[in-house]
Amino acid sequence: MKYLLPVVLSLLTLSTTSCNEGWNKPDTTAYLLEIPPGFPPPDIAGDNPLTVEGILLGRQLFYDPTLSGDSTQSCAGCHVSAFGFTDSAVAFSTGIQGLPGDRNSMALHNLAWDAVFFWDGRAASLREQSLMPIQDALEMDASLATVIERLKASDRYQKGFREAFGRNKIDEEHLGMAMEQFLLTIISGNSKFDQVAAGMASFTASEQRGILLFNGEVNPNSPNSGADCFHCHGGVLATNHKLMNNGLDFVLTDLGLGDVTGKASDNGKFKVPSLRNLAFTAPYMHDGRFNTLMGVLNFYNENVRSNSPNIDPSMGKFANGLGLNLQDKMDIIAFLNTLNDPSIETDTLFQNPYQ
Amino acid sequence: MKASQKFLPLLSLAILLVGCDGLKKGPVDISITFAPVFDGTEVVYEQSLHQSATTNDAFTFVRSDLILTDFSLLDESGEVANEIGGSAAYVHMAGDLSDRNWTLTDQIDPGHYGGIRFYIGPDTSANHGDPSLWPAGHPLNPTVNGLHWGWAGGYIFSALEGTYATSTGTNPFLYHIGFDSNRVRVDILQDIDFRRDRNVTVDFNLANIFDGTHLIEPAITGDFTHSTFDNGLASKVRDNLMGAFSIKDIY
Repeated sequence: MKYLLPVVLSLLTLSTTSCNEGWNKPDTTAYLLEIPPGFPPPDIAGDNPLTVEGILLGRQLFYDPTLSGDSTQSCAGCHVSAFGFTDSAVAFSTGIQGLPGDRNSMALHNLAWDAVFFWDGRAASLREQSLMPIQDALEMDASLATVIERLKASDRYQKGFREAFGRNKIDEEHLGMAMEQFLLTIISGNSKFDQVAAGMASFTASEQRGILLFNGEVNPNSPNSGADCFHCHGGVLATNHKLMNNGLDFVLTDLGLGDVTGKASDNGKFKVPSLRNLAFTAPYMHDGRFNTLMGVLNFYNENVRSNSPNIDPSMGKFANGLGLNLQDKMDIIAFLNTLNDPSIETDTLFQNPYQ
Repeated sequence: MKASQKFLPLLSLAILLVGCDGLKKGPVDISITFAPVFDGTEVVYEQSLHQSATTNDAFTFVRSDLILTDFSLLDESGEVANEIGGSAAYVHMAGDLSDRNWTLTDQIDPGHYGGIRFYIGPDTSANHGDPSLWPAGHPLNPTVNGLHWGWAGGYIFSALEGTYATSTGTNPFLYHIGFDSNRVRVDILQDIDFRRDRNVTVDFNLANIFDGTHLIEPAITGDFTHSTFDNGLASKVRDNLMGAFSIKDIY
């Protein structure tokens, strides 16, 4: 009788232990995300800590065509590291059915600082975002159930998911979490601009004039009237992370955020992209309508549709143009090119693990 | 039944009620929610139209973002009685309730006060410090507030944007107020019982931006400023902002 209580307590303890996740927790290696100097700390979801195993799994998935309906197209098919993780100089990528997409492939760097994803901001997390192209009929056109079955049948992924998340974790949730981990690691912060900020390089005269124009407001009263780029693309991340209408069109053929929220006041709003790595990511805008940076600057200089529905007030006051001359535009482009970070193309941690 | 037995349940209830009055001996929590209004009418961003009686403009608001800092409680003579050093909030008026809330937890001594005080904009030290040092989620982290002016080495304290319609058409207005000289103090003098945790609603009256200490008619006074080369427009907006806040209710 005197042993009854200890036995009951032991059984209770064992029962409690087997009911929680502790026994199934894999032995992972924590990964410390390296934040470039001058970048603010990102607000990363605490329920998906980065691990070496999780990132490797996400990278394998990113480059794996079996995530598409006919096993021909991977995420990397439209997000090529050599093009700053955009597609190869096309306005719209081609999906597995040979159909063109309807928006330009977005760059994937510095997503750790973003709160919403896609041009229309329809995904609130990277794990949510990463599952959408898989199911999109114009992109990879697969059902998640089919993809999960394929992953479960793969020895590589059985091992990969087990090592990253534990046993019996090959499911939609952990597929998204693995992709999220890999995408969070694609950080671009080693451009000439960053080196100048660190005191390790200096701008040329043209680049220096370009940054002044970039950061100067359009103000006829100011001796340093500029191009007002900083409103939407200021700071080290070169974006304000908002969704805005920059006045491309008077008649909207793509409603952007308005299609997501159903609110007329959101029509024409798209995510403000980072201006880093522009040398690799042409063409530009959500529909890839401009092939060159000069084309972009010509638009802002002369063609902003100030009567576009829901145009942002910061754009709407450009009705009379920016007043930039050719040299101004060339200097701004010189500065923009200091935001290119070639390591985005070459960092082996971002490359195809199957090659 | 003895009389004492008869009244025992009532006595217990009375004791229970007294014990549940919410009065706290330790620090109290205060949750301030800012409510954007135009002379008492709710402002729905990008939708509602508000006719100004004094400037003849019809306003629609797109953005009212503020950085508020250094919350204090004032005594009955208007002097600081309880200062919450280092407190800060990023208030995005167009957002949902959580975007325009400032909660101060475990920092306020319970008691009666004569008002509240805060500043629009960070102090000089924070304004010119390295913005990348603020932790994730902090109101002064540039990714959180989107209000850091890299070129000026400081923050925009308030970003006020929208459109104004006159008889000749609709135009955008954009007032971005920054620089140390435009940091202002807001005092709201009102007797407040903070002996228990409180929720406070503070009205932010956007009409006051245009009709406060100064009359600002966008088409005449100016419809944009980044606080430089603006013929003094930013300082007028700054002054008007000081009077734009009032306590609506406390519960």
